[in-house]
Amino acid sequence: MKRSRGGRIAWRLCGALVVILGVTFLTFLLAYLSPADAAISWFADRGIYPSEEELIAKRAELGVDRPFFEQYLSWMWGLCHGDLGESLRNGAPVADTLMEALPFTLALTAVSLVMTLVVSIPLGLLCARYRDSAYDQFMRFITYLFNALPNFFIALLMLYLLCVRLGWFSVIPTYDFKGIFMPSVALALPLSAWYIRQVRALALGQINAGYVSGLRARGVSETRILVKHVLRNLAVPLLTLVGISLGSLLGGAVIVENIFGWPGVGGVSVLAIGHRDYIVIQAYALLMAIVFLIVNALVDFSYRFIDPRVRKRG
Amino acid sequence: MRSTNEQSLLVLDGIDVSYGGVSAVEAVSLSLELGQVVGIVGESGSGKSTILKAIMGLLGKSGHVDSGDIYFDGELLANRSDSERISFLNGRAAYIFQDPVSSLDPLFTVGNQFDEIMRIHFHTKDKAAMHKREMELLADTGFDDPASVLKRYPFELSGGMCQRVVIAMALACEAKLILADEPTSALDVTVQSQVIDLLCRTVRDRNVAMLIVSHNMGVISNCSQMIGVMYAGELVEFGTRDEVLDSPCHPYTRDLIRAIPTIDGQIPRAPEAVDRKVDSPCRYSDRCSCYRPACDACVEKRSLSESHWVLCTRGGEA
Amino acid sequence: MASRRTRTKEERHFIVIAAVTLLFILAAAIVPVVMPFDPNFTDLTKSQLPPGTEGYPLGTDKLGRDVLIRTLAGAQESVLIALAVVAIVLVLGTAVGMIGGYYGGPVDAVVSKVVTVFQAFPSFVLAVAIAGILGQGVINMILAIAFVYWTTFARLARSLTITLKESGSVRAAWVCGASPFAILTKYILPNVSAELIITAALSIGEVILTMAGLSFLGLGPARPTNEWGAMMSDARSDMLTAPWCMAAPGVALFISVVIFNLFGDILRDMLDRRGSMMVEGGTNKAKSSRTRKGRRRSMKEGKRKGLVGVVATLALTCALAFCLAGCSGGDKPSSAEGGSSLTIGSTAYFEEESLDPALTWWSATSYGFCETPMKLSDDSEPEPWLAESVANVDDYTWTITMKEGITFSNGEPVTGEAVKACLERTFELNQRARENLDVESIEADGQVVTIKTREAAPDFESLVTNPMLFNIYYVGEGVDYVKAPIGTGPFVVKELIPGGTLTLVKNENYWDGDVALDQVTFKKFDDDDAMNLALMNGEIDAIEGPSAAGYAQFNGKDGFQTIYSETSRVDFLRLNMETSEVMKNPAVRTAVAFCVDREGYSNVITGGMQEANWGVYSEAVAYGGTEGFNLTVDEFSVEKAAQVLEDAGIVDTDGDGIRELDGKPLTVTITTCSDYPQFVYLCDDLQSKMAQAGMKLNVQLLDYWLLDKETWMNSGTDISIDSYLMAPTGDPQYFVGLCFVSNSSDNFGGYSNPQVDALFNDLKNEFDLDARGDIARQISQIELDDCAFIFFSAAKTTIIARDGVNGLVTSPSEFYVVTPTTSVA
Repeated sequence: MKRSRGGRIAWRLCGALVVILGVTFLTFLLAYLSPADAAISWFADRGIYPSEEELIAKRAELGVDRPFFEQYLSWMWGLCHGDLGESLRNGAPVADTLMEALPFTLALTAVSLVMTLVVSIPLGLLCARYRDSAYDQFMRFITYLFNALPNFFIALLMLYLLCVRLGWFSVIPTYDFKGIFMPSVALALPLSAWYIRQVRALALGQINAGYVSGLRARGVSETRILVKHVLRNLAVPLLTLVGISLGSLLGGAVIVENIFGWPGVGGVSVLAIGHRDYIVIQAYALLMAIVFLIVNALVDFSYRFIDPRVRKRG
Repeated sequence: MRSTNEQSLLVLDGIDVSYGGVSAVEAVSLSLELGQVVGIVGESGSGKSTILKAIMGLLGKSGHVDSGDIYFDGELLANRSDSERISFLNGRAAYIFQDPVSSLDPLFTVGNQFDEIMRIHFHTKDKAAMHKREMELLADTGFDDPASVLKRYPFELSGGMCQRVVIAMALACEAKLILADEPTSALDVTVQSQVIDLLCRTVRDRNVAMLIVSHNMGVISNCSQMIGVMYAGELVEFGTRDEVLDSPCHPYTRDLIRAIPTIDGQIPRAPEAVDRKVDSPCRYSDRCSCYRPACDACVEKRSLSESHWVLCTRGGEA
Repeated sequence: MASRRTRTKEERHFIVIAAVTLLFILAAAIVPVVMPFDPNFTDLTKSQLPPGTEGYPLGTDKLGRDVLIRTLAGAQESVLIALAVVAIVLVLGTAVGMIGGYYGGPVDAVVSKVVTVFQAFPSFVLAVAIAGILGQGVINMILAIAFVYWTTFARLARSLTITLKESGSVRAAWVCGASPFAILTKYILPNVSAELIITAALSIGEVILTMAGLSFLGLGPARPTNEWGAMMSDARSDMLTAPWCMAAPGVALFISVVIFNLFGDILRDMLDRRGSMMVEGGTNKAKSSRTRKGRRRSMKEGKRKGLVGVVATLALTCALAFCLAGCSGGDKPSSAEGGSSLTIGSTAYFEEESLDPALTWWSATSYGFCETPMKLSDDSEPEPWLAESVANVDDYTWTITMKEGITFSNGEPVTGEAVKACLERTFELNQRARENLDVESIEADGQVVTIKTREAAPDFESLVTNPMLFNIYYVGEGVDYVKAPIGTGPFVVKELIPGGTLTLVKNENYWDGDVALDQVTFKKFDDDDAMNLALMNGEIDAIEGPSAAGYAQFNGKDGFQTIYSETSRVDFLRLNMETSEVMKNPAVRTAVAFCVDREGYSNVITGGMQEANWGVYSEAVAYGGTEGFNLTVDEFSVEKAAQVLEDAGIVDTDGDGIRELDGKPLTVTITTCSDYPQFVYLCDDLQSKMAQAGMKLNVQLLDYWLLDKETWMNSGTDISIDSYLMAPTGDPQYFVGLCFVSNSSDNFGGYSNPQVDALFNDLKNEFDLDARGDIARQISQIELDDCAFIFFSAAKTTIIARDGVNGLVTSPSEFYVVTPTTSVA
């Protein structure tokens, strides 16, 4: 079944569209199944004691008395216009609140991702290079350690050690590199532990590949093989890892942002959870899914810059 | 054997190689002179590639040369570590792999990888000169349009083209010894002879030595002056091309030659394993059509001529 | 290549680790059940004993609970639930994935799309969203995690099934007419199970961590819980004073994750070695190989962007994110350049969203941007502020004469008309204001404002000091009341970041002299620990209303000062008198009152920051205290609680340790806001004490306060914990009218007593102060008898500041915090 280039792109876009529709449907369903009554929450958060008539009126206003699909369609309509509804808690437009916080979360994830890569690629390569050496065993131990520690524990330990005992960082986050450093490290540590093991396994796979023997036989030095060739060949699977791990970063950010007071979407969502403000929770989940999808689409797209085989296909 | 050390380019003196304690090659000795092609033939797993890897230092972590000496140009190699051996052999020996496509880094163009080798071996940064030399080498190896080959990625070239590229890279090193590890088995039949011709021509024109290994008797017989036959880690027969092909003495050699497919459609019968006593010192005893109980006594190397010997007690008599 | 160890050694390792794992699971299952100790048993006399204390190898927590026993008990919730979740998702995911993979076509299309949609969400985000929408509870947590993890197994089972479907044996079976069910169960399942079980084993650790994360966010099991994540979350605030409370569950969590990870790894090595199918995407995390793109030949030329492109992309992303963060972060508060600046932190009672002076409680005066006509002196006497005088024309008419020459911060003069506009707006919007003062009309003439009321307002003079009713602010076109109200105070609102920070700057036009500070920042902390750390680090200068942990940390320590005053604030339990059958029983109410450890709460839980309260009003007001009252409950005694219930015939008939009332187990639900750790501690303590008396207490924690009756009733609670300033102006009418009178605005529990209503009417018409006090005492006695409210602890208003901060005030009314003379050195 051969398709033209355009046809293939259209087909992929269709697939993506189905996924996006599915994602919106799922998020909407989540909120729809929420046991809380939106109208009551709305009044409750304003300290108002509503009458039954007020409640009915509010339900009509919020549209929660309409049939499921009608609600879904109108929600989607709003979504297409960038309207994610209004917070039940304070009536603020959810889209604005989240978009205000999103750059902070993106900055946090980007910085911790860069930290993770900078730390784990060399360490992982060294593990592969000196496989089964004392260094490799030591790193295995370290990665086991950080893989098994909950990120909030790491975050709290860091907070107490680096901010209080050593006084290197301020507890109230500043919005510069110093401020983003602590939460990023708290996110990057467990992720790096995982990355090092992945990089090691991937690099071992590469070291046994034919081209490494070929390069060796042609006199290319081990270091050069590792740094130039193996690393470049690792880029594709690594990029996939980056796509996957972004999910765990965005997830971990919920807790870490909360502990360090970093004003990202994680904090917004935790506040919303406390207030059962499912409009915000719903929008938050949707936004994260969209970010995740976009990044993975970018990752898919960027394979072509690394791997000529992908670039030159059809 | 010792007497040839001085003029031989490469001498293997009774080397044993094992992988993680499992013996792969035992007591293999041979020598190679400039301008000479020695072919080793044997079935898969007989240890022929291991010999090449042992020479080049590509055995990997688990492989070891347990005993025996390897001399290159009179220099002892066996006491060097793998990486030392590789760096010593750089520019002296070149290795040609069975799977040419995967022996090239898939993510870099041929030109890029070629440049890398040129830089290593000639310490030059003169791009134009490098480029010129690359073009010459590629033209020598039979490319009509070397410039476009340089711009391509390995996956854009056919297996035969890749193998020629690899050979060109080997030539770039100005190696005196070419170790060809099944250079044709991954290639289309039509391309095979092309590559073999190229290798033979190279040996002739440049006066280098080549140790070529293949499971294909046809390939070996085509290009080698000397032929060795390997079975289960041992060299069982060694002699000039004519000696081995015309008067094969080891039963295995005979079986191998008989097994070469002929164009007339006769299906050759491979010798089948027969259940016999296993602890015979002759490793071929369980498949040998000429097995006699006397074979269980001992195996010994018998010289049939100055250059021809066989590892069979019965020295080839049926 | 990976390892050439001999099989026996590998197997030995496997046996050892498998045995350890099995033992661990067995221990987690059995120990908590057979353990002869109650992990939730509280003993406030043994608070925070360090590890190694006799009888407490791992020490005790704040409530005197044994940390070792709690940690052991937590294994059940943390480990066993994780195992159950993994088992559930393994079975469900495998079934769905196999069916999709086997049938192919539309079935598979649906399955794979659904899986893709679920995997489009970052997994923890989805778990948080599901649990957040469903609310706290074990079942909800299990659901949330199951919804996230089933896709891993469905996806893996599907791809394995698709591969196997093409295999010879399955085709042969199909040709022989085997049913799909037989093929799936006999041919496919045995072949896919190894890989799936490895994946399951490897995800146990991850699930444990995810659960701990959810619990940490308060989305775990309901109280009482010893789930490790929840324990750690609770122990956070005392991490400096009692680190062992955090370390024990943390280490337990760590050990269990390590054990399960080791088990998963060794299992994978074993099963892989045994020649199980090697299919890509083997473990849940190692999905990396899926990107091997097919090789297709093309002669097209491509540009060499390569690694440079990736690096550039990453760098660009970072730069972009930084810029974005920088843009929105650029106008965040920073200390005023060159000037003196003060930062005050608090976790509660800040107006997070709106500063509208018509609707706030008393933020407007305490933040210093609004003032009232009269001010309360330190001994709660009204004295002139913006007004020269307040005069009583007749029972229903009062006049306020505003001072001349005062301007709002925008330069507009404070005239009678301006005050009229302001008050009309307030009384229109604010229900509590209307309840306190039934205004008929407001007239303005020059600087004089005349207010006519429908009912007599004997407490008018003190009401005029109350910012809840009488904030004076500028009403006019284009005023943003929510974000930038305009008042007369020494400070002007510069910026309010909702839920975060309020920055005020000096009012250059202040009418009453020069203002010492250039800038004041009130910072709302979501997290008490962060706030304490910030004060310790010198990032903030003061804490308003420290928590018990904060108080313990700073009170009397070098470099810090404690400023406090006695107030009429009392912490109390509000009982549901309207819909709760249990609470309608007076014996139960009394029993609950006996179970509240008022001394323990005040001395241990609040660390001595508060005082036990046995009456209604605190000692801070003349009609408060216990003297002259007839106390039904005058001590903390579980035995007496049990006795009261026994006497009322409420006994345990079925021997489960819980008494039955009308044939149903005596179960009570208590609700409070998790922002206030001391209330949460009280809940835990009360839970243990009531259990000893034979009552079951469920704790429901919310992230917000129940601020209206509908919400209160809808929360389904029997008891809530509240804290009110009962007489901000020193006058009793306020609180009686707010909480005690039938259908009053803050009478959420639906308490109603005609006697109280009648006395309240008397109070409203009584102008004599002593007589008003007498009426208050009569009402107090009725409240003590009815026991619909349990006033258990009297609070002080407290500020902790670093040395060098001067002029911060506390007052019985809590109305004032910063003043024109507040300064920093």
